[in-house]
Amino acid sequence: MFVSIPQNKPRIILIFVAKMDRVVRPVFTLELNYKIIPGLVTVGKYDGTHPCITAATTTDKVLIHSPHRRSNATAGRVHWSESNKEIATLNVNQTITCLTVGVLLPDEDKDVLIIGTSSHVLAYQVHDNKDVFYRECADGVKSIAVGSFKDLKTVVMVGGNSSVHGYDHEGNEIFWTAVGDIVTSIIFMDYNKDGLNELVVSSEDFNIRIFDKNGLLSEHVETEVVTNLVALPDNRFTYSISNGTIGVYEQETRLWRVKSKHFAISIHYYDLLGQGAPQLITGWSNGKIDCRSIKTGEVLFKDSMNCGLSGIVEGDYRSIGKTDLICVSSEGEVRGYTTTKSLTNSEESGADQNTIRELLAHKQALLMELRHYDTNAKFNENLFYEPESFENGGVIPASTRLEISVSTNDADPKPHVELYLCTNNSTIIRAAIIFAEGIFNGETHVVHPPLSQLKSQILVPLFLPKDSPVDIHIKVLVGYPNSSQFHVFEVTRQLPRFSMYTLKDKVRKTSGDNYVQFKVNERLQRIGLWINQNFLLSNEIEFDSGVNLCLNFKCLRDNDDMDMVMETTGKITIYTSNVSLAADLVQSLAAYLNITSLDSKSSFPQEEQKLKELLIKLNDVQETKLRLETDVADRMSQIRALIIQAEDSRINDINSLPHHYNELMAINEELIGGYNIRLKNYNEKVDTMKTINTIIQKASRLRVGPKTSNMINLCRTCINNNNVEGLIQVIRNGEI
Amino acid sequence: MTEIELSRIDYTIIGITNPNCLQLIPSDSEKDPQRVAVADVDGILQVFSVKKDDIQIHFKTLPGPPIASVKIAGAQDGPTDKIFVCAGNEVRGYTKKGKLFLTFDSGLTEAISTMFVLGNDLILCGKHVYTHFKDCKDNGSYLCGDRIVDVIAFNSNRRLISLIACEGRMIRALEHARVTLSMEVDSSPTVLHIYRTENDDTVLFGTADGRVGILDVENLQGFRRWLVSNPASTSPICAIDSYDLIGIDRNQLIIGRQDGSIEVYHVNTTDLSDDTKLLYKYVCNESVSGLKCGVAASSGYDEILVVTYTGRVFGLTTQTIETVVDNSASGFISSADTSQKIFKLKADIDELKNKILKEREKYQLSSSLAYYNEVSAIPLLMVKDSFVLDRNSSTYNLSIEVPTAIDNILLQCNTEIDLIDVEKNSAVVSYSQSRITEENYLLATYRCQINTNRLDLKIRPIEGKKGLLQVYVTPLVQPKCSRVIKYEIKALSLHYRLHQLDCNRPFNALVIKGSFSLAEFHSWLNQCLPEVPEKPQISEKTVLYFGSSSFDSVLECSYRKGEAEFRSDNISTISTLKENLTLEATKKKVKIEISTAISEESVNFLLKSAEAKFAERRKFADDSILLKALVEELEIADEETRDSLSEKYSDLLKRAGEIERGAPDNSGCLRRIYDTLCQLYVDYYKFKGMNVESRTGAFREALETYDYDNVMKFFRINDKK
Repeated sequence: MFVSIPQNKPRIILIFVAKMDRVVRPVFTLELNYKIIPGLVTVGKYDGTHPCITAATTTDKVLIHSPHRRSNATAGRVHWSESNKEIATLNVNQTITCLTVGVLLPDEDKDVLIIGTSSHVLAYQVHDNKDVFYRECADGVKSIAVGSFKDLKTVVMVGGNSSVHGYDHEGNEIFWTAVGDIVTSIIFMDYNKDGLNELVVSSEDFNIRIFDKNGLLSEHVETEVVTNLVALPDNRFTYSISNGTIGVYEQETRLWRVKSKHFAISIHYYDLLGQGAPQLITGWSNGKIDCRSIKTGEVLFKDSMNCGLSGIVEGDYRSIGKTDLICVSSEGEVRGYTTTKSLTNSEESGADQNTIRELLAHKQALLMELRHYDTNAKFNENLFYEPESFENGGVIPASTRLEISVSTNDADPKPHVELYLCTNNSTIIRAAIIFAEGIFNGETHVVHPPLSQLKSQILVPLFLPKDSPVDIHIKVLVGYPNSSQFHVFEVTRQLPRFSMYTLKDKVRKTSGDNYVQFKVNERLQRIGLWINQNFLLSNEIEFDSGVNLCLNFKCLRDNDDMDMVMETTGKITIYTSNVSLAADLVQSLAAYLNITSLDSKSSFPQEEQKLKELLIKLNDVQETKLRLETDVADRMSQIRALIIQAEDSRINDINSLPHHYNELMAINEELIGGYNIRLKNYNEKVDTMKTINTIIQKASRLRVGPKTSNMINLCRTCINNNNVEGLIQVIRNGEI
Repeated sequence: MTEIELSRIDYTIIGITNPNCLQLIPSDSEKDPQRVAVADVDGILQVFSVKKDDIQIHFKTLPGPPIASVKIAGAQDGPTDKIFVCAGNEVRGYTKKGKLFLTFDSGLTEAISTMFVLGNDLILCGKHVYTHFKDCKDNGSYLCGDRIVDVIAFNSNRRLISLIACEGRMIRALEHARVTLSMEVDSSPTVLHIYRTENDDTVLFGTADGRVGILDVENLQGFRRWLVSNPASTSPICAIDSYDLIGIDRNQLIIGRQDGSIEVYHVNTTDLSDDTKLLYKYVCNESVSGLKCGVAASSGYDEILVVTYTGRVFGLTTQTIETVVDNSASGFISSADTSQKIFKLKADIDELKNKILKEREKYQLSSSLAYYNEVSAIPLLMVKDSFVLDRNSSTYNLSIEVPTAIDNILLQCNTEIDLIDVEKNSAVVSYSQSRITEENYLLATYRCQINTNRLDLKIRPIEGKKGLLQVYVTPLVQPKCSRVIKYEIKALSLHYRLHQLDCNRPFNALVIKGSFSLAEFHSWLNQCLPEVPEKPQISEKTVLYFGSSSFDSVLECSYRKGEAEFRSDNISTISTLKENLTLEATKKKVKIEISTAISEESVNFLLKSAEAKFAERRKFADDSILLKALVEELEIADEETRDSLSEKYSDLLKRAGEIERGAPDNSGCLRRIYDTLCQLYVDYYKFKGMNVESRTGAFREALETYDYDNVMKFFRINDKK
């Protein structure tokens, strides 16, 4: 085993904060001399009182920095560095995916370190060198949280590739739910202000989902993968997105969000500026640390480290009875900050000067606008004398207007949603910039026709990858071909959730094996309203009378059919082979009609068939796995024997030495081959699990409210008992 | 050396300003507050003094044509308290009380862009013409082929010598309107300044790549050395002043840059061993158009008075605001005054808002009522921009600044260029899917964060590919408009002008003959190469030299009516020129005859000369791969293990930081070198009448495992057959 022995002993260097300081300076700095994986930093009180920075290094070790440790070294899993008494490393030998601490054991106040690797969870008591539990997680481990959830006092929530498992302190599974994609972050917080914690889970399908014990409580869709969640005081939580956005939610409402070109690695809250309430501290990939107001997102203080941040934690590192904010960089640099009351007069006066500066800037902008109107008025007065060609200066008729319409176009070889922009006179559209999130590669789509093809109207095709409402902000540059300045017309439109579906011309008979059926107690007129709001129809549908309302849709993405039959009795049947579309429609309708509980019957033969096959495959895979494992054990004993033989012959019979070693090499190669097979097997298993969980998750969304959680629990039981028929029954009817 | 602490105080805002439009009027006694004279493009000159943190305007002129320069001067023995301004082709003089005592129509055809007043001598420069007036009588003029960017004059041994800084990297000394001296400098000058010490006056100049140099007019008759040269800040110098801010009986140098930094340096112009030291730096994020040092606000406190392009006037004062706490009674900036100022500003803004509300309604009404002849006319948005080649990295620095906050910027280009991320700018970039069929090789938007007035970008063109870069700037101000600015990407965009040519190289030649005029050919050349002067030299034969920043190759162009000759050691350069000039000639329907002479030696020469740079880059690339393995795989971080490593590896670890920082830049450089060499290979065979596009892959492979002889084989292989 390779042990790192840092010679430069990291020492805590205390720096006194000058009274009149204008900036918050670190109160201590130290070097760990290890490279730290971004995001995998935590702090734990393993003896119940003294905090230790704990981080994962780039070489799959867990580093524990305990500056307050007394000399009695404990042996065991942890390896204490010989030259530096403050640092200990723990070899994990598997890729560390997450790291957290929590008081897990009842009647104890010592923190338990919980390490997640790609396939296992280890709960470990550092102080007593004791494993609390070590469990294999078939679904992988992507994120862990420890805390209380509803009536469960302490639960270890483990997020995997497609599900969340909850374990108690003995490693027994006490909670399970399907998520649908890789879980990126889990937190516990009181979301709905009922005094008990809910579970907030973000996953790679851009979603943030809030669960209570009865299932999904709420759902927020973001524009890209949500990478991190942090619970904040006052029932708020903050999130960061892989495109560089951070933001804060208070229940359903997003208080603010900002986007930067760097990525937020770690977020924490701490009262750095002594305002009596904590601020949001964000550590960025470029080494910047900023301190923002939680309510508004306004930046209050900035500092930066020499390289990217790895984590921000909080702990009483100076043993003064008050916690410090501790920032750890990816190169192992540690800085501690503490609450600094920087309310000296110089700060205030500086703030005054800032206010003056801002006011002056505001005044400048206003003066400029005023000048624009003045010039415009003067220009119009003298219009008669102006040279006839004023087009180059970007002067356009005052009556110029921009028309905009959005429709579906299914005649094109690649059907799409079409945005039509047109001016009402001879002016041309030089360019159109469309800002929207989640539908383009970047955040904008630009249309800039060549000079020879400038016209007064343009068509912009839009391909919406997902069924979710999108706000598009359109800026259109209007002028003449040779203008050096253009007028900018700004329009904002919301594209409805199901924009990518168009009504078919010919009404055909609706039938099929794939459908979901449910009943709502609403008039069809209201359902008609829902359709008008959520689809992009050229003519709004109006339901006057009749027995049924039949609508035939076609998906613009893959030309698939989707039919809806709504009867006056309130029975609604949606015919589609796409389960998630059916689920989206059910959820959207339920939200529109304020339905809190809805049961449904479904039939998706292909999905059911797939599920059957997957379950059989899963069994196979698991069997293969067992066989492979015994194989490894066999080989290991062979190796042991060979090594002894080889050593023997080194002394006794040198000629047969190469023979033994050749054999050893052959076995080694076999082992490697075996490993590759196992790896493939493992990946197959993960994929299979994921697909199964996704189907269950989709099926659960065909229901609303308590029915959902009921169904999920039944599914779990069926899978554990390997009851295929039962599982399909549950998916069909929501019950066995 | 003591560092300085300065605090910013904002005074007022005016219109957009030109350089040289801020002056301090000397007061009667030394440490008394001085008056500030400042003028803008709206034609308003205002003189104010600061009292109680607020300004008191002494006089303000009516709007008129844009004011290009403001100078303070006086009669030979009298006090220097007269204010001279120039606007259009007129010069006006005011006393410090605001009385107009001089209106002088220079009669020049060009608008005056720079002015200098010394006693009875008045020097006015337009874009190309230098004119000297004595007692308002024409005393001679000089026509310059280059653009004149700044002018100063001084008396030396009773002779009046004036210096003009020209864009073509030349500073010319004139006497009696005759050029007596042409001094070449390394980078194009932007501003001239006289640094006074007790015994000596030294001429300093600032450059477009952010350096300050000393010019020795008397002895060396040329450039002496760089005084300020910081590779980290290459933003153009916009203003220079010298003043003793810290009381050491030696003037410090204060410079303002285009990126908004204001820097104070300790300098010594005579003693080489006394290094230049940065004492203070402040970044205001708006380009500085003028700065002057003196006592403006509070008696006894020196300050740097700054005006930015957008018209913000503020001071960086040595008076620490802490004094307020210690001695609030006598302290100048009492918070009561400040809050009153804020109150006043807020009232101003409210009033403006009401006014705007009405105007906005009127504007909306006119568009909805639609009298068919009414128009919407928004004045052209003023944009301060620069597009300068950075020779070290072979990139162009594009900077855009507008007088109000930017909403977004759209970049469109019809040829292949790379956008390079600039750490400084915080704008969010988004690349839009672009269709080559619509002539859009690049479509990118920058969405700016709030309160951003300027944006700095880096662009890397590819030599041989010419095109047009269009930048649409949309500020936040209502009614919304978007100004388009166009930049030509020339075919040989990575070339720059040289003053001398190293002739000891093997040259390839290109001769073009045809029925073209000198002016015609000059304009064709202007399409291919940057930094071509606006007008051809009037002499018999025009000769221009260029160097390439991507390769260490040179180009000589000599042309006259009917004949042009080019010599370069780089075949690619010749090939690009040939293609583009043919294209231009065809466009104009001018018949031309082309003959080329390719020197085999030139390939060897070029490869040899690139070899060292190439090898260095390759080693760097190897090092960074090794280092990654060392650090990440082996986790070697402490010195004990480091000592047991071989010298090579331990050295690598020592240089870890340096290597990591340089790695991304290096890989780009290496790729570029590969590209240029591949291009050379293709062009070489193009002249041989062969197409080797299909073999570039093999050539590239040969480059990756570089060996001079092996690579040369590629150039010679076909000869033997």
